[in-house]
Amino acid sequence: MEAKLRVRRYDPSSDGLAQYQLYGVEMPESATVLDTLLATRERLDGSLAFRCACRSAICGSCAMRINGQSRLACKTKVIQASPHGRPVTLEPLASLPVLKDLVADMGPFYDKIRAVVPWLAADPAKRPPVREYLVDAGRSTKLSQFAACIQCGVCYSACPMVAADDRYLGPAALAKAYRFCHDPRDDAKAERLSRVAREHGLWRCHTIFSCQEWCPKGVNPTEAIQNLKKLTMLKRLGFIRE
Amino acid sequence: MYNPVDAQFQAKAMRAGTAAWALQRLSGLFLTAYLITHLIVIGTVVRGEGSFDSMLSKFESTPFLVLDAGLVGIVAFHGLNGARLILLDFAVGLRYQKALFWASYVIAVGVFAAMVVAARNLL
Repeated sequence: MEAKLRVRRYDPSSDGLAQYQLYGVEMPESATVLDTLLATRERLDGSLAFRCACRSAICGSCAMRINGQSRLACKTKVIQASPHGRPVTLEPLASLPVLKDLVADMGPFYDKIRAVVPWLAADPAKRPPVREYLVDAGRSTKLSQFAACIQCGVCYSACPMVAADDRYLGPAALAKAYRFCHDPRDDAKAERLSRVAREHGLWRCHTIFSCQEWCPKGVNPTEAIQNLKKLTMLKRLGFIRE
Repeated sequence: MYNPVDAQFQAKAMRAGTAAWALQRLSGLFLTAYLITHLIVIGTVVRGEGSFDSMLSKFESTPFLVLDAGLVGIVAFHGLNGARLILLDFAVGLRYQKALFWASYVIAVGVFAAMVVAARNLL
């Protein structure tokens, strides 16, 4: 079949505005959008810029907007994106600066994840355990959903609140914050909560669930954010002391 | 910064959560507009009984009765979806957010239909 792509081209070195370019390349029916992009770059246009690495939805590099929806190019088949043979529109992730063509600058996204202390922080005043620190199976299962995040930026791009407020931490950072707040080995819950329970943090989420709808790894950031809201409210109302 | 009209608002990307968010705001705007209109109408009472009665008679036509039925439906949706949002803010029923939205929507449409039937009986 002929796979047709309509790619948003933007070259920062030229003064021109972004424009859309059409490509048509012969591909098997099983081809993904990423396969088609790779074939296009190889056969038609070597100047086409996009990111990719693992090609199997593990690394998250090839996140982009496919027909307006934030997705992984390696996990989306052309035939699925365009069942009637119309060109598949490809654009870079939304709410992030564009470096070239489909390559977005992930810097602001990573900065926000770093801002929530996304690591286990041990209290130096506590003595380290003499044996391995066991996490019970129930807690571990609950955490594994949030630990599955590959930081591809799909949720960030899909969130209308991020588009409306560029200071909002966004779903990925908040889900990461919850993942560590919920970990029994962590001693920095209060610090982390104080960083996220702010105007441009938790309270900016309006439960639109776009992050959950589009996450390619089945993570539910809205669940994490709402649980953090609950935790914060119960603490402020004095029901929880920690 | 590349930030075009957000793709979430394209119909093909619209899911229950986005629809609930948009309808909650639209219904809020409608209710604000209604409240202002209501205050203006009630305010005519200060000009005397005749002025008030003449203003009220304008709202007894069929289109306004349908709008009144719509108002009750919109109040029902806004209230029920508001209760859904309060539950979600306490992390209750997150897995059922779509069902809760559709329940709010269907009940609101049902209330609207019942009000239309009631309005027809009034005419």
